[in-house]
Amino acid sequence: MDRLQAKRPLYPLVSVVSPLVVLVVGLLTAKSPCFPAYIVAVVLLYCAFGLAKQAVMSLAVFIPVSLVFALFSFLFQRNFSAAGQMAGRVILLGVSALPMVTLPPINLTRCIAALGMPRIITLGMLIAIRFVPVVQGEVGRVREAMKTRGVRHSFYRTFAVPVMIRLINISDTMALSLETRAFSTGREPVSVYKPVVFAARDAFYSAAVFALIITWVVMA
Amino acid sequence: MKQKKGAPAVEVQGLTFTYAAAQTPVLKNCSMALHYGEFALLSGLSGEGKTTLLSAMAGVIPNCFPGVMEGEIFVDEEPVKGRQMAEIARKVGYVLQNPDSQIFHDTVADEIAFGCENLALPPEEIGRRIARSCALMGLNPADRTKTLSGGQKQRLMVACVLAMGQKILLLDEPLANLDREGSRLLLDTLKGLCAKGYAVFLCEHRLDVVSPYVDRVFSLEGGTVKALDRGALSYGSLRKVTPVPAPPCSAEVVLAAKKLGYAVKDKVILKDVTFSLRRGERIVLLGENGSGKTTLLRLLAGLIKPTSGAVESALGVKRGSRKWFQSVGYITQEPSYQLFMPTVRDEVSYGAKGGGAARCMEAFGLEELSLRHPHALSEGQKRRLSIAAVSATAPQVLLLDEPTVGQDSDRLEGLVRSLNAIHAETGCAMVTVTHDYRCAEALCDRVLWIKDGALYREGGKELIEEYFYTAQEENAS
Repeated sequence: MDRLQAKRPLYPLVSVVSPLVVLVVGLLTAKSPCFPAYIVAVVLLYCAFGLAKQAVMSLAVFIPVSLVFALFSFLFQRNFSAAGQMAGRVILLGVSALPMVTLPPINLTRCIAALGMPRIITLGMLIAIRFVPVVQGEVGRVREAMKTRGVRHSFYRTFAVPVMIRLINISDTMALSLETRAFSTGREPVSVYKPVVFAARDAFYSAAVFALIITWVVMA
Repeated sequence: MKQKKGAPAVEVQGLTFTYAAAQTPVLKNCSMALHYGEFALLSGLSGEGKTTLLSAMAGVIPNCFPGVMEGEIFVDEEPVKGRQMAEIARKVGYVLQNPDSQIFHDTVADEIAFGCENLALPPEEIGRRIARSCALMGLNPADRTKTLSGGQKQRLMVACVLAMGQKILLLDEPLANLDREGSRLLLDTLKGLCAKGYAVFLCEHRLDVVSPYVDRVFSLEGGTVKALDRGALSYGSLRKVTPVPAPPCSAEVVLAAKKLGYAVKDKVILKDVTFSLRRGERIVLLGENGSGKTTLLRLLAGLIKPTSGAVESALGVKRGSRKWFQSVGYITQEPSYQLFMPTVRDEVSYGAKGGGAARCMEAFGLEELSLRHPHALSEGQKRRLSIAAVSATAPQVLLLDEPTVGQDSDRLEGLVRSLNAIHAETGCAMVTVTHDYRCAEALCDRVLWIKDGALYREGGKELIEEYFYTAQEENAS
C-alpha cells in the first residue's frame, strides 16, 4: 500500500468525495458507447494531478481482472457489448478510487480532527488503517513460526487459532495503547500537529472533476 | 498543578485485585507510595503480577481489564476510582510491553505527535517535543515505523510517552529489547527527569543494568509489595550466571555463512558475513539494536534468502523443509507466535523426541503450568515454553533470539543451565542473540560482534567484557 501513496496528496475530503462522484456517474452511464473515453479522461485527469505512476499500477492490475469479468459476462449473456461494459466498470472501479487509496491515512485522520468531527470517526479510521497491515503481518509471522516448529499444516489448529489469538491480543494492546496515550471518544479538545489545508491545487482539481462530470453527462 | 519533589505521586493502599476469570487474587493487600523526584524499581519473579500492579496504578485496571478490586489508588492525591483512562493518562505516562503492537502511524514523528495531539498541545510545541524526545531516544523523526528494529520500536514507545510530558512515568520492562547503549540512554534520561521532579516507576528484570540508577526498590512476592533495601539487590540479581565447562565441540562444520548479505531495496542490512558453526559449538551474537543480528539468525534458519552469498549446510536435509526445521530449531524474539497447542504439556510434547518432553518440562520449570493454556501465561513463561518446546525436538542446531527477555534472575540462571544441559546432552550447536550481560558468557564458546551489518570482531569470551563495557564507554564519550 505504501508504494501507492501520493507524493503530493490532495485535500483528504476531496480525495474521498471525488472518486465516489466519478464512480457513481460512470456506473450510471456505462452503457454509453463513449464510456471508454470517460475512463481515459479520468485517468488523464488523475495523471495531471500527480497520480500517473499509481494509475499505471492500478491499470496493470485491473485490466486483466476486467478481462476475466468480461469473459464471464460474455459466457452468461453471449453479448459483446455487455462484456465490454463489464470490463469498463471494473477498470473504472480500480481507477476512480486512486485519489482515495493514494491518500496518506494520517492526512485523513488529521483532516477529520481539524474539522471537529466526532473522535469515534478518527478511532474507526485508525483501526481501519492498521487492520490490513496488521492482519497481513500476523498471517506471515504465524505461518513462519509454524514452519519453524516443523508442524504439519492444519488450517484450524496451526493457522486460524494462532492468528485469531494474536489478533485478539494485538487489538487489546492497541486499544490499551490508545487509552494510555490519552485518546478519548469524548469531547476533550485535541490539536493537529500538521494541519491539512485546502490549497489552490485542490480547488483546481475539484473544478476539473466538476467540468469533466458535467461534460460527460451532457455527452452521454 | 506544580508538583513538589517528595510529594506523593501515586499511592497504593491495601490493593487486592482478582481478574474476572480467576479464583485467586493476583495482588493481595498491596500498599506502597511513589514520590515526585523518585526513581523506583519493581522487581519480582515472572508471572507474580508486576504488570497488574503497574496497570492498576495507570488506571488500566479496572477500566480496561475487569475484575474485583479492593483498596484505593491515588494519583496526585486524588482517587483513581471512577476516573476515565484518558483523564488518568494526562497525568500518568505508561510504557507497555510489546511495542510492536502499539504503533499506529507511518513515521516516527507522526507516532510521537499522536499523544501530544490528544493532549491538545499547539503544533509548534508538538514539533519541539518530537525533536526533543527523538534526540533523547536516538531516533530519526523521519524514519518509517515499519523499518525500525525491535529495540528502536521500544525506544519509540518511550519517546511517545516522554513527549506527552506527564510527570509520573510507569514503564513495564522497557529494557527488554534494548542493547546496553540503548538501556544506558533510557536510564540516563529517566534519571535526569527524576532530578527535575518526575516520578519514575520501572518494572524490570535486568537489575544489573537498572540498579545503579534507582533510589528505591520494591519487590512483589506472593502478590504483596515489599519495600527493599537497595543493598538487597545484590543478593543474586546483579551477578552473572556462572559459566560451566562445555563439552568440546567437534571440527565438523554444520552451517557455514559465506559472504552472506541481505538487503531490502537500497537498505543494506547485512554484508559479507563469513563464519562457520561447528557441531556442538556455542556462539553468541552481540551488537547494537538494528545491527542485523536477527536477520543473520533468520538467514541461518532458512527463513529468508540471502541477497548475496550463501549459507552452506552439512545437515543433509533440504533447506526450509519440514525436516530442516526438525534439525534446526529456531526460537523467535516474540514467543507467542510459536505456540499453538491447547496446553503447555501438549505444546512441549509436540514433535518431542524420546523423553525430551518430560525432561524439558522439568528443566524449564513448566511442570506447575502443564495444564494451562500457553497464551494465558506471562511473557516470561511463554518464552520458557517456546524454548522448551523447540528444545524437546532435539534439533542439531538451536538458534535463539533474545531467549532471556522477561526472566527474573533465578529463572535466568535456571534457563541458562537448562540450555547448557540440553547442549551437553544432545551435542547441538547453539547460536544465541542476547543483550543480557548476565548470561552472555555462560552461553558461549565464541563471540561474533556484529556492527552496522558486518562482522566487526570475532573472538572468545573476553570479547563480551569488551563489548559490554569498553566499547560502550567509547560510544558514550
